[in-house]
Amino acid sequence: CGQAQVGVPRVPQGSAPVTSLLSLAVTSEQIEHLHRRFKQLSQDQLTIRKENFDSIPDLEFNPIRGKIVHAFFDKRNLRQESDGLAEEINFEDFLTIMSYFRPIEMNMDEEQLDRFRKEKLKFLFHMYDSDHDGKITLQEYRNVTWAPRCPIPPESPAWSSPCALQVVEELLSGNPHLEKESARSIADGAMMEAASICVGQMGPDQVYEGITFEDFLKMWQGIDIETKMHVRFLNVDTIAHCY
Amino acid sequence: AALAEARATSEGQLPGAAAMGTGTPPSPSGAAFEETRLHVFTLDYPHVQIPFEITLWILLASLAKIGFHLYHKLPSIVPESCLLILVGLLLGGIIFGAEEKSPPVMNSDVFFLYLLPPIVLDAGYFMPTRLFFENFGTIFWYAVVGTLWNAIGIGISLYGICQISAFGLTDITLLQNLLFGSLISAVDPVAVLAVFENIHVNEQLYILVFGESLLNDAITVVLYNLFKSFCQMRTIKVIDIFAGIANFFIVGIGGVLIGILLGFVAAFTTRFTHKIRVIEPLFVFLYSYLSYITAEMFHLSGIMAITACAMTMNKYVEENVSQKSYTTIKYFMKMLSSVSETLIFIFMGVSTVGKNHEWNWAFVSFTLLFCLIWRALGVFVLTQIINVFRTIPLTFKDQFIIAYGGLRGAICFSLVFLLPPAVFPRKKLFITAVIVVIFFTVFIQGITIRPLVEFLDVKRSNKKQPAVSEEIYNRFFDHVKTGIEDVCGHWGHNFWRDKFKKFDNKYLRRLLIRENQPKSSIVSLYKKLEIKHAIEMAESGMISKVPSSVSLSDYHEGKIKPLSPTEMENMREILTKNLYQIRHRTMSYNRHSLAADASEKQAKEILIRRRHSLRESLRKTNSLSRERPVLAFCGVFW
Repeated sequence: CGQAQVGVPRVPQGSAPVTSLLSLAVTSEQIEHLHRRFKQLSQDQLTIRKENFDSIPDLEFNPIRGKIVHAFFDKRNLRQESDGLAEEINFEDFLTIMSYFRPIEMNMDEEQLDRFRKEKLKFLFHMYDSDHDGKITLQEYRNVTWAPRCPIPPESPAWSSPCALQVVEELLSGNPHLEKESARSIADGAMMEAASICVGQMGPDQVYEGITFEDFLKMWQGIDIETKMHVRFLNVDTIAHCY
Repeated sequence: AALAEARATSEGQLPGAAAMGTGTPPSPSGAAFEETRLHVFTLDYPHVQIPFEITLWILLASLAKIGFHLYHKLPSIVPESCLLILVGLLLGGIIFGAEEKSPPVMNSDVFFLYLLPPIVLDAGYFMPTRLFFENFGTIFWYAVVGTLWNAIGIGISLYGICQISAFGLTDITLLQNLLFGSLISAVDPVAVLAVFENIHVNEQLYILVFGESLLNDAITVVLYNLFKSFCQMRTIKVIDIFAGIANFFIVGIGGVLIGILLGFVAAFTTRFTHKIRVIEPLFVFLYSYLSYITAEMFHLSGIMAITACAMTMNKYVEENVSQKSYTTIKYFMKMLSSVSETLIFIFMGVSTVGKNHEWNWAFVSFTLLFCLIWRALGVFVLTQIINVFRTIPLTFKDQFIIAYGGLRGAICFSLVFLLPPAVFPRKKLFITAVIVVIFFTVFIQGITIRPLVEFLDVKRSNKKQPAVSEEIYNRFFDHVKTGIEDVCGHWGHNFWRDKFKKFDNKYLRRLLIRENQPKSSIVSLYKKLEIKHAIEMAESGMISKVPSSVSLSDYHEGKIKPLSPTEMENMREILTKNLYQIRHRTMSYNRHSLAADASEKQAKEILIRRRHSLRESLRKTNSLSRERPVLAFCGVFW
């Protein structure tokens, strides 16, 4: 059961061709485990939809749950040419998303590391950039710091109503008493720091449109994302089971 | 001894003074009655001898430090520890030459009870807890297994050398060698701090080496006591070895428990100190010192106790005490640890000079050789094993720095002086060997580690001020990782961290913090930065509408009557709102969506000043004068 070679997994029945999995460099045991998890989430179907994520109990408490689930269905993350949201994803797509969180390997050279880093940062960038226009605007940034758990979209005028405010929970402090004002000013402050890092000297007439991906890369230069953005699981060899 | 002597002399004076009344004063010539007149001017040195000498020593140490920094390039080439040892050697030579006897050796009690705790407290208080716990497994592995490996390896190989009769060392038994191995294998936190302070390697490496030096105290204490008792016992049974192992767990865990318990008590105490702000810093120091000496009383690991106490206290005390008290605590801690470190190195230099030595080429050189070899081997082998369990494997560069950074210092120095000479007839030989090893590691390794770090191009730390956006990203990150872990169905680090945070928020914070408003670190960092900017702008006269008491509320708390929480909240609101409005005008981020009123000229002025100050604060670091890299992260992590 479960071959030990890297990148040569046993193909579970009925899934899409796994040739693209060869580039992901996860071992066969990990694929087995993830496949088991996939089956559990999808209730033995071939694809999962957004509703399937509701069955994960611990995810309920996560303030950015919506963004995480959204990221799984974002076509830009699934390396597809088109844009927008997929309706459902199969196991191969699931693995593709998981591969963004694999840790670095010791034998990677500079160029591979750089590409690795860019991939991970692109994933994060897509999570911020909700309208898919390639720029993080102030409004989107504000949404990150004030992530609602209610389905009211941030652009709607319903935001000014008090009942909307009661439902939401602030991302960062988990404190329902913290006002939206403070969260907005925090987002503004952070945005201004971004502007000063990326654009430097700004004349009073200049307008800073939004954070593009290049600016995003610049801001994260100091932080070594390739070592931070990984999930421990993907390095542990689980016991392979035979089907 | 000095104290007894001083007392004796002053006692001796009293009868003489009393005798003035009765008319028979003691006089050396034994002559007949001689009245002493009233003395206009007296010199009574023995009365103040002890405090006087202590003050002179500390003054000398501090003056030496000033001297080093006069030539600004010197500290970057040669670490301060080396210079201080040289000064000590000089002083020791002078005293030896002047009095023809050995200068006072650093009393081990003074070292362990007074000089060591401030340094460990300082390091533990400002430790980046998040990074520490992320690497805890590796640190523990190196500390326990590494030290054991070193101790036993060095002990056995030295015993092998001793068997060769040509060296004249055959009277040193296996147990004595093992004891020697155990006391010389411990990496010393004081020396590590002193050297790593200046080279600014990345935090990961720093925390590995430094964490190891703290945690290995437990195993050092156990091994030292174990082998010392074995040397004095006539037969050794298997049960004794098991007792030794059990002792290790008790020492380590007991020390940590004492530290955590007293840390909580300290946090609880500071909950009630809002009426007497002035003595708040005292509680921090008293409780941590208490944890140290309580642990020492039970022969548990004092270092681990004080570290655990400092790390526990840190979070809660910071929120309970006033801003001024917090600053006082930080500065006083730095001052104490700086003085301690200086004194330790000077005393090491002074104690080296004298007649405590016995030189034996073979023993000394082989000790040095084995220390280096076993350290390098140990780090290499252990890393291969631990890399299997780490997500980010340690590279060869990392391993080299970890091995090279294993400096020995004052702890093994003091331990060797504590050996009972009756059981160890070759004690002087041990002392000489230890001194040679310490000097080698501190001088040679200390001086060459900086060029090596640059040559190997080891990743350095970036000491920039934590930005609000960075804090947001970090937090966002954590949530993403936790979410993915949940989807995978795997409980990783983040799961336990989340659980602890929930427990913390629900029970601990309620109990230990006075006004428990759940405060996110992002919000508090943001508010700290904003208040700083507000002060700057208020001082430059820009904000005229905001009442001055608002912006100065944090700084003049003592003068105004204490504000209720609602008032504080209102003030913070006003502050935030006003700043937000100003930034509305000055941001020019997206003019179209902001309400632009008020004078344009004022807006431009504010914009220029604001951007200038923001850029300034992005460049400046927040570290205090001791330039520890850990300081920049104390606010960001956790």
